[in-house]
Amino acid sequence: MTNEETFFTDFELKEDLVESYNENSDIKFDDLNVKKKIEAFPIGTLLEIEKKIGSSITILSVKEVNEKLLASAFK
Amino acid sequence: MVSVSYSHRLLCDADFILWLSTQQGKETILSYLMHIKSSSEYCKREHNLILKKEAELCKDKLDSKYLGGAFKVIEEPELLDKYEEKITKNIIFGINLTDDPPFKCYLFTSPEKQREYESNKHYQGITNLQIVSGEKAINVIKGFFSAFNSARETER
Repeated sequence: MTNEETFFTDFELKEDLVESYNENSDIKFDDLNVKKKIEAFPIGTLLEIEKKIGSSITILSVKEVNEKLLASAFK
Repeated sequence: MVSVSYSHRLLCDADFILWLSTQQGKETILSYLMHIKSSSEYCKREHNLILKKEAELCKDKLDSKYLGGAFKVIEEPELLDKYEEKITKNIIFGINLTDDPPFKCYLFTSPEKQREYESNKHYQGITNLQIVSGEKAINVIKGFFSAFNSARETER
């Protein structure tokens, strides 16, 4: 068993993310304001989620996926 | 929960991504694709697919994080080992996807490559896999996103 942490980005609809952390106690928040921020988004909002995986999954930050966010996606 | 039973799976090749990268409004289309992938009733997060070798050909044009958000990057399955041409691999993979719901698939490519796909011997007589390019592909994506939007408005 290793304590190594990895960071990755995921994309999920708000309600899928809420369901994940409501049903899985291994999902934690770096800052509880992030949890409040997620819950304030309307249903059907797609989120870019920064996660840290170690002994548990930590949600570090979320951003709404929109055209402004994707402006830098194409090089 | 916003969940949509889209009529077709979506598979794309590198040529489609490279073509899309030259189009006005490409960020909007990328956003639509990401919403579609996340909301499929039949195959959530796996509705839109791209083979890994195709994805690698796009990395200079589209950030791989966002390509992965729009199309799940799939390792080439063993069944493609016996085929050499990338067009053939995409066609066979697309046909294979039609074994499962919704039993139909659009294969997105560039307008320049469409004829090459359509004349491939493995595509002859195939009806559940449809080769789509250019504005027609954009219209498919817009139509699917419109269905997502309707479902989202109903849920809210």
